[in-house]
Amino acid sequence: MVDFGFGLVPSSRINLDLFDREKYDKLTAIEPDARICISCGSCTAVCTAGQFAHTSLREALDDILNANPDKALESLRSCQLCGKCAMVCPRGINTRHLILSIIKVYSGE
Amino acid sequence: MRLTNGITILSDAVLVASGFDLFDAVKKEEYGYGIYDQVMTNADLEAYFKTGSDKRVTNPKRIGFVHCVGSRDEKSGCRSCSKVCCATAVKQAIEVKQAFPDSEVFCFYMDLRLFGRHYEDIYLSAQKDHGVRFIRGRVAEVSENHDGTLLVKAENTVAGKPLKVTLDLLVLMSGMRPSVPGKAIGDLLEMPVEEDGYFAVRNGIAAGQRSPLPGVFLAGAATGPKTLPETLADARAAAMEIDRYLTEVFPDARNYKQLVRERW
Amino acid sequence: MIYEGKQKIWSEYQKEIPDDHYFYVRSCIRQSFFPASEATFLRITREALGKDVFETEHHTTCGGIAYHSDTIPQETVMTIIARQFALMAKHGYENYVCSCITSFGLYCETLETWREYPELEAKIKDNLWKSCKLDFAKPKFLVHASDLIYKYRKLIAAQAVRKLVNVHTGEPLRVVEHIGCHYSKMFPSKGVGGAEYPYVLVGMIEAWGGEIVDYPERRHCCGFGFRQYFIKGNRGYSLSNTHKKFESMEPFKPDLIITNCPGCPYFLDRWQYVIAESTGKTYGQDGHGIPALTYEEVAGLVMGYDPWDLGLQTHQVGVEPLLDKMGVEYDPAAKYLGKGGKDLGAPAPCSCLK
Repeated sequence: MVDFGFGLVPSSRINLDLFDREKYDKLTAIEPDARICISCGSCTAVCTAGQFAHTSLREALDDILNANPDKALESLRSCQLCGKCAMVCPRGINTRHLILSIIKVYSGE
Repeated sequence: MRLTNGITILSDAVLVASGFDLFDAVKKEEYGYGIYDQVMTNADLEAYFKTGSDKRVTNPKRIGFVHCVGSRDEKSGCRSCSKVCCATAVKQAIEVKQAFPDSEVFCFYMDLRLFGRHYEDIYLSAQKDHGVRFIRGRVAEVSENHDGTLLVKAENTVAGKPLKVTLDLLVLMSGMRPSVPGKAIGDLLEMPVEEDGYFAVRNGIAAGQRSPLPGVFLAGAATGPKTLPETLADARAAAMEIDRYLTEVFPDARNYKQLVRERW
Repeated sequence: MIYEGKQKIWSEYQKEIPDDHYFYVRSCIRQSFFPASEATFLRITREALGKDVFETEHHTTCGGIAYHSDTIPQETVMTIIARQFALMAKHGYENYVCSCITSFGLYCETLETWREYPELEAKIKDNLWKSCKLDFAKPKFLVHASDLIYKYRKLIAAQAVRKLVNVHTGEPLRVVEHIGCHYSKMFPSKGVGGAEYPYVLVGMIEAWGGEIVDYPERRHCCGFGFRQYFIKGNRGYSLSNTHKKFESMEPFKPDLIITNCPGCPYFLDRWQYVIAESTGKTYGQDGHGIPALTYEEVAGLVMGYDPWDLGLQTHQVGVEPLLDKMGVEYDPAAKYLGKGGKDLGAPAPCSCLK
């Protein structure tokens, strides 16, 4: 192989064809409220950990739907399960249970 | 007034309720309506629900809905929101999901504008009970794959990334445009039209159903996109307005012309 | 795919293309990338069809490359363009045909800008007189050279010695068409067939017996993109765009790519080599690439011109499989011979791309 000093650049595009529906169905079976997020961002705005380390439940849910569950887990890694997000969620999502469910389904822990 | 069947009617008041035309989705060339086999409109899908047959709908696994087709789009000559498409898309998405429970349904929206009683409930139900996926971002381009499925490109503006998805069926939510036959009637009456192509009302929102022409009333989508409840309210209001007009002006036949001028 | 739907759109985007008497301007980069293409354009229009196509050695670049690389301001580029138009008028022509897509887009942009801002036009007129002592003029008709070949496609078909057909199977060749971005993306009404489903090259392929392949990334840029290519650090983006197109067209198994832009055939050709040599992937049959030709080269092939006179040896992707499919006779030993039989030397073989 020849090294030209440049090469193919990985695509940053979301490919929904790679979405893992089976795993997502598992998640929504144990926490149906995963489906009802409206991406308002309240959870991220008040996140205790998020002020210091990248943490966002809103983003994590979007990443799962965008076929990037590894990034979702990364977005939740610093979560302290304080429950502040549950207090502000306008749709009343049990965010702590949702976070634990995501980790359970997607990291196999 | 002379009707098409030759009958002539003398009337003191006219109600123009000429409605709207559906936006011609062919004009959004990038969506390929009339070119790609698996692209249909909201009206086509509604017809399918009624008749149960459309060669495009053969047990689709992945279906997309494109909001704002010919609405909020200056390029296609329509700046305004068509008001009904968001609610219709959510309703049709649920119906598709009910018809094909194994399918995945995506709604591509810029803003979800379905305010009013019960509409938020439908939206919640679409997410919660039917698993409809809402993606914020306008579909930008559609093309056809080798196997006849569609390649759909949009941006997920929440994630801030371009997105692609392969779909079996794409439904375009065609918006409302001013009625072309209605325009012909308006031309006969020399009715003023606003920049958006809909008939002008006499004095903004306060004038109710009166047009700038004495004796000519307006109702429904003749004065812009309307929802069904709004159209029904318009119809009732127009009937009452006309009744009041006739009662106030016409009992005194001697000087009714002056009264029309004074009281319009 | 519903063909009638495309026909409807094509019928809505037709432009007036005069039949004869053109002032021709060449492209900067085509003269070095595929020099025989412009010679073939003149050979077909002047010799085969007897048209009046005039060119002068006094014309220059349109300034497009510098303009798109942000190195010269718009007023400078407009003055360069005004000079080109003035040369046209000086020689008694009012129909302007250019070889380059970047130029065509820039001419359209300039004429539209002048229409929108007459005070700017007046300023350029002044600039032109001060700098060149030439009288300002605007073309009555502005066309791209591919518009003209499109216009003559049936005349060319009438003189053709062969079609875009596989002589071994009798099947039409599967042809991918690629339109330069600046042909109609900026001004859809200035291109034959518009911007979403351009007809200019499709019309040629249909007239010459080929079958058009419409693949999902057809509208995507070839990857040239000026700054994406000029700067080595960005070159990976250029390559990736081209790669995306090839991945998308691969399932359709095209025999040939036809282009109407200076940069596109170059990148669709050369990047196949880079993709092959750096990743091992090839897109044609049996380790070959897919030949990416200019429309003049394709016209020359159907007219029966010698492939080496058409400059097909300057392509990185070998054209021999295509020539064999079309039944074109050629002398393999003459491939790298220059004028008067001078040996130009064969390039070193590629390790992956046949």
